[in-house]
Amino acid sequence: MQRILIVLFASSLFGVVLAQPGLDLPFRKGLLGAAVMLALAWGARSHWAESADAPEAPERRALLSLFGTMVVLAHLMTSLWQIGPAMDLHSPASHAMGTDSWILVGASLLMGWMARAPGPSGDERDRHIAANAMLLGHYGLLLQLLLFVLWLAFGRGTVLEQMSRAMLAQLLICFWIVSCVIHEVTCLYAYARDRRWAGEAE
Amino acid sequence: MTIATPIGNHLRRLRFEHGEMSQQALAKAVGITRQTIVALEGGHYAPSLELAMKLALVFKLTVDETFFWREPPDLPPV
Repeated sequence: MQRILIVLFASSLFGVVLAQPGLDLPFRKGLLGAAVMLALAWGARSHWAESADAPEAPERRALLSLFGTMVVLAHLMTSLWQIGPAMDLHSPASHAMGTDSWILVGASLLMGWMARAPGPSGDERDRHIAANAMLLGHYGLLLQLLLFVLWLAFGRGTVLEQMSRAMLAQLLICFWIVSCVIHEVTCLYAYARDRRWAGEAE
Repeated sequence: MTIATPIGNHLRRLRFEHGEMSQQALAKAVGITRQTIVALEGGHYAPSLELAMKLALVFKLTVDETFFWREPPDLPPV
């Protein structure tokens, strides 16, 4: 559980820092984010290759995917916060956010691919864990949508009335990413729990 | 606190009786990860019928000789 919290905190912090307007670089911030994410995945892969009790491929994938997904979410939410509710889809700020987000999504997918390991890529227990995680992610998405629908219906006089359609669409994307985070966290929690139980049995 | 499945097994003993076979070797023989063998031996995971039959086959035993009920469920008489 400690490892999951560390990954969540570090990736959120990194995503927020990447979205800071004060971070002035001669190239896209998304490229810096992608480079750091891929270097991290490479480092983790090298560490696991030498470690005797390294996690199996599905757990590695979940761990790196959680980091990547959380960076994307933190970057997107911070950027949206800075742009404001009346976001225009065709403004320089929105274009920059979109380009950086897509670069980070690409890096996140590559991280998952770099997590591959020798041996089976997963078995029935991994599928069982993934199915439970999918269910929880699904319920998480439903809950967010339910709250959003209630807000849409009864949120008069709130910031909702200033929101552009582009902002509402971005919020829906955030809900989807949050459900992916719930999925990854649930998977990692199940693997950590199994390892703890195995430790207690020995 | 650990949660055990109602189905136990003799995998750990069988491995040792078969030349101290490692968890990794058994996992490879049936095409699963070592962590799943750890979960099975710890009684925290009940395998599918297909996996149970594969594991029994490795030790040239039947499923009944490899797996057992910790506490058989109360079933209504047929």
